[in-house]
Amino acid sequence: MSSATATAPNYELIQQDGLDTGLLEVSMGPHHPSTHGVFRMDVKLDGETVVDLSPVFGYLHRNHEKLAENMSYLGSMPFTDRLDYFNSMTNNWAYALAAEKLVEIEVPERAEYLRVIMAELTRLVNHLSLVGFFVNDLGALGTPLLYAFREREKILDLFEQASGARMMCNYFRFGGLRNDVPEGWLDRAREVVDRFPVFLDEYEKLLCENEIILSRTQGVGNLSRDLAISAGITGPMLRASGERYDLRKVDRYGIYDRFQFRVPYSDGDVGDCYDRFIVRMLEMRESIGILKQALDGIEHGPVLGNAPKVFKPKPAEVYGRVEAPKGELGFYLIADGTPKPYRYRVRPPSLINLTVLRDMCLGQKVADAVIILGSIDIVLGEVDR
Amino acid sequence: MSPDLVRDILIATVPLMVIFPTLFAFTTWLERKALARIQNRIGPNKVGVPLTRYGGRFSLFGLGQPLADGIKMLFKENIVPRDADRLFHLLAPILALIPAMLVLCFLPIEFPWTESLLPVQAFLLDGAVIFFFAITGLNTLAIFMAGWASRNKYSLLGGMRAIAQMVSYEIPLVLSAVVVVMMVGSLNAAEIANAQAGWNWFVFTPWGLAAFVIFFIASLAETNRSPFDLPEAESEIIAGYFTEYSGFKFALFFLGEYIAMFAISGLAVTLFLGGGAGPGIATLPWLSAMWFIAKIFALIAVMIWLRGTLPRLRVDQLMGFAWKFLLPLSILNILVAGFAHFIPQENIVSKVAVWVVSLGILYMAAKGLNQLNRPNVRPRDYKYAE
Amino acid sequence: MAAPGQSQRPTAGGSHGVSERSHEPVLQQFPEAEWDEAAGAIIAPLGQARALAEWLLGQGVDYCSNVTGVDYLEREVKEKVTGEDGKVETVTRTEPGRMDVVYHLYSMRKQTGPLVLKQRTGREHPQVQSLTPVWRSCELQEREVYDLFGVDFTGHPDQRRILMWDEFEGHPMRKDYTEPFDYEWEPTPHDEILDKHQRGKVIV
Repeated sequence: MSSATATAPNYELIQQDGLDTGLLEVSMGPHHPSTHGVFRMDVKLDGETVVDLSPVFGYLHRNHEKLAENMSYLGSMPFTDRLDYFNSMTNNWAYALAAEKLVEIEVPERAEYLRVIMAELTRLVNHLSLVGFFVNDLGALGTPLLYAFREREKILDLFEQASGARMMCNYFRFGGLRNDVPEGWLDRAREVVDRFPVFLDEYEKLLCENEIILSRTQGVGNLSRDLAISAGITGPMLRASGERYDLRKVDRYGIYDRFQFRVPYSDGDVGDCYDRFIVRMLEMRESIGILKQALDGIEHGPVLGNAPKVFKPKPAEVYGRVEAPKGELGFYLIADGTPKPYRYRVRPPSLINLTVLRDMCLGQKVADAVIILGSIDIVLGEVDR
Repeated sequence: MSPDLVRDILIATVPLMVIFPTLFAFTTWLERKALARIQNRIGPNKVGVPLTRYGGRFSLFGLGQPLADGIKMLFKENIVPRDADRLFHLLAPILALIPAMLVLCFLPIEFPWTESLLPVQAFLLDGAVIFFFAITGLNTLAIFMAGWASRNKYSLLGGMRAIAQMVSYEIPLVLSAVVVVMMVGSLNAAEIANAQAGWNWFVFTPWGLAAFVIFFIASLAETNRSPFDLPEAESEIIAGYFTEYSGFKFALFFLGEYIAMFAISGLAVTLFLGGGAGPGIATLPWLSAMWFIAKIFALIAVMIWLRGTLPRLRVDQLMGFAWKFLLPLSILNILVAGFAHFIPQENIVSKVAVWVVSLGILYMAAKGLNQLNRPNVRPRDYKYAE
Repeated sequence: MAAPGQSQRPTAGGSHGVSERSHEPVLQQFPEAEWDEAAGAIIAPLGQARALAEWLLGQGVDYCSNVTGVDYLEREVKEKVTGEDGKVETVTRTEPGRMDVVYHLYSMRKQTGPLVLKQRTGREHPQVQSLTPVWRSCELQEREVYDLFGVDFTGHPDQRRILMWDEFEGHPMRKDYTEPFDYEWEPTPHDEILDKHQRGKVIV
C-alpha cells in the first residue's frame, strides 16, 4: 500500500565553510496578484528553489456551517452560492441534492434537464476562468484571460436572464428550480453552445502547442496517482493524475445516465500542470456535447415538484455529492426533526486538493509554486467557508 | 571651452533630450493602446486635449493620457521603506536613466540643425560600439541597487534575477554585433551606418539576418521586456525591483526603461537596418533622421507585440536559453559570416547557394541545440473513459 | 415514485450504490464494532480505529471523502417502553454528551461507497485516533475538526489550528460556544459578560 505521508525529494543544503548562508523566507502573503484570493504561502527559498512551503488560510472564514445551524434549510441556499463563488449553480445543486435525499421529493423532468444545463454551463464558466488565469499566471499579460472571459460573459448573461443574477444565482430549490427560464432562453443558450467550439479551437491553436507554455508546465508539479487517491483529490486534478473517477459516471445523480459523454483523463503517471490544463480543455468539449443533448431533449413542463411547505425532515443523516468543476462537492446533513439542520457540513474540494500543495512544490522554483497553485484551481470562499 | 564647442554640445544634446522624452510619452500611449487591442479591449480613450474644458469632447483617441500620467506621478507621495537605504534608494533610478540617455547621444542620427543645413552629428567616437555595450552594463548595477536598497524580499529576488539575466544576455548581444564589426572593419557607428548606404543593409545577408534575430532577442532580455520580464514579473514577485518605488522615482525608472529600449533599438538599426538609409534621402537630407526614428519605432512595435502575446520564461530556462542556445549560435554565426564573405559570389546562383547553405547550417544548429536542451517537451495524447 | 429510466433515488441513510449488507465483513473482522442502523454507520471500537482503517484500506477502500465532527450535548430523551405487564410508559433518560468524528469512505478502485465510520468520544478532553497515516486526505480535515471542535487526534503529524488564528481560544463549532464580546481582547467571555450574553444581551 502506498504510504500516506509523501516524502520530500532528497534535498541537501550545501553549507560552505566561512560563508554564512541561510534560507530566504518569503511570505507570499494574502495580498498577492496571483494567489487567487486571500491565501498565504510561507515559502523558504534557497536561491530560487523552494525548500519548504506551508500554506496558511482562514482569512475568509465566515463559519458558514454554524450559520446554517441557526437557519432553516431553505434559508441557507443563498449562502451556498457564496461558497465557491464562481460556480454558484453547482453549489446550489449539491445542497438541493442532499436535502432531497432527506425528504422524498420528486423532481420534474424539465427541472432535471435545466439543472444539467445550468451545471454544465457552470462547468464551462469555471474552466474558462481557470485556463484564463492559469496562462495569466504564466506571464501572458492577460491576453488569453480576456479571450476566455469574452465567452464567460456570454454565459453569465444567460445566467442573469434565467435567475436574475450573474454569479450569486440562488436558483435551485428543493424539488426543482425557483422559476422557469424566460422565453427564448433555450435558443440563446443554443447559440452560445454552437459558437463555443470556435473559441476552443482558437485557444488550442494559440496555446496548447506554444513552446513556452509547454516547457513551463510540463514536468512541473508532478502528482502521482497513488498520492492523489490517498490524499482525496477529486475532479480534473485526479483525472490528470491518471484515475478515472467522475461522479457523474459513478453516482449517476440527476439524469446524467441519459447523456452520452466521455471523461478525459491522462494515462501516464505524470500528472503535471500541463495535464491538468489539457484535461480541463478537453472537459469543456465534453460539456458542450452534454449541453447539446440536453438542449435537444428538454420539453415543457413544471419546474418545481411538491416540496413540503415547512421543510422538517425526520431524523436522518445524508451525504450528497456532485461533481463540481473543482472536484467533489459534498454536503453532509444531519436532521433531527426540527426545521433547522443539526449539523451541516460542506466538503470543500479546494481545501482537500490543497493537501498536496507542499508535496508538489518542493524542489521546484518559486515561479513554479505560483503556477502549481493556479493549476490546483482553488477558490478561497470554498477553502475557508 | 570655446563658445563653438559649447554651442556644438548644446545643439547635439538638447534636441535629443527634448525629442526622445516626447517619443517616450507617445510610446507609452502606443503600448497601452496596442496591448489593449491585442487583448480585445480599447485602451485609454478618454483623456484628450489636456488642461482644457474640451477634454471630453475631443478625446483624440486618448492622446492626452501620457501627460495626465506624468502629472499624476509627479504629485504622488514619495514613500521610502523605513529601514531602506535612502541614498541608494534615491540613486538607483537616476543611475538607471543616465546610461540610456548617454547612449542616445552616440547614435548616428543626422539632424540638420544649422542654417546652412550642414548635418551636425553628436560626438564622433571611434569606438562607439564598444561604448554602447560598456554603458548599458551600468543598467544592471542600477537594478541591483534598487533591489537591494528596498529592503524587501520580493525586490531582492527581482534584483538577483535581473543581474543573472542581464549579465548572461550581454554575451550573445555583443557577439552578434561582432559579426557586423568584423564585416565593416571599424567600431565607428557612423561608418557602420554609412557602409549600408542604399539598400545594402546587413539584415539582407544570411549572417546578418541571424545576427539581427539574436541581437533582437538579447535586447529584449537586456531591457527586461516580455518574455524575459522576470525581474518585474507581476504574478510572482509583484513588481520585482521597483516594488517599493512610488511617484517620481517610479516615473524615472519607467522613463529609463523606455529610453533603454530606444537606445538598444537605435543600436540595432545602426548595426543591421542601415542607419538612416531609406528612399529619398538624396534629395531631402533630413529624411534620414525620419527614417532612423521610423525604424526604431518599427522595432518598438515588435517589442510591444511580443509583450502582449508570449508568456514568460522561468529563470533556469532563461539562463539555459542564453548560455546553451544563443551563445553557440552566435559563435557559429561568426564562422558562417566568414564563410559567406570569402566565397566568391558572381552570379545569382552562387548567391542563392550561399544563402541556402548559411541558413541551413544555422537552422540545423538551432534544431540540434533545442533537442539537446529540452528533449521531451512535446504535446501529449489523452485518453477518454466512457 | 421514481419514473422508469430515472436514476435511483437513494434512501435517507445514504447507502447509495453499495449493497445493503456491506458492513457485515467489517463486523465479522472487528466484533467490538457497532452498527448504528439509524445513521447507517459503523462505530469504531475504542483504540482500534486505526487498525480498522488499515484493514479497510487493505480491502480496497482507498478514498476518504469527508471527515467531520458532530457535537451532541447532554440531553434528555423520552422513550416509550413497554413494561412486562404490557403497559406503555414513557421513560426519561439522560443521554450523555458525546462528540462524533464521522468519516465517509469510498473505494475508487471498485467505485463503490459510501461506508460511514464514526469514532465516539466524550465531551471533556475528547481524544480519538488520527486516521491520517492511513488516508492522507484526513490531514487537513482532522485539523479543522481539532480547530473547530477541540478533538485531539493522536498520531496526527501536524495538529494545529487551520481556520482560526493561532492564538484563538475556544472551539467555535461546539454547541455551547458563546461568542466573545471582543475577539481580540477576551476570546472567551466570563463573569458578567458571559452573564449578559446568556441573558440575551450580546453587546454590552
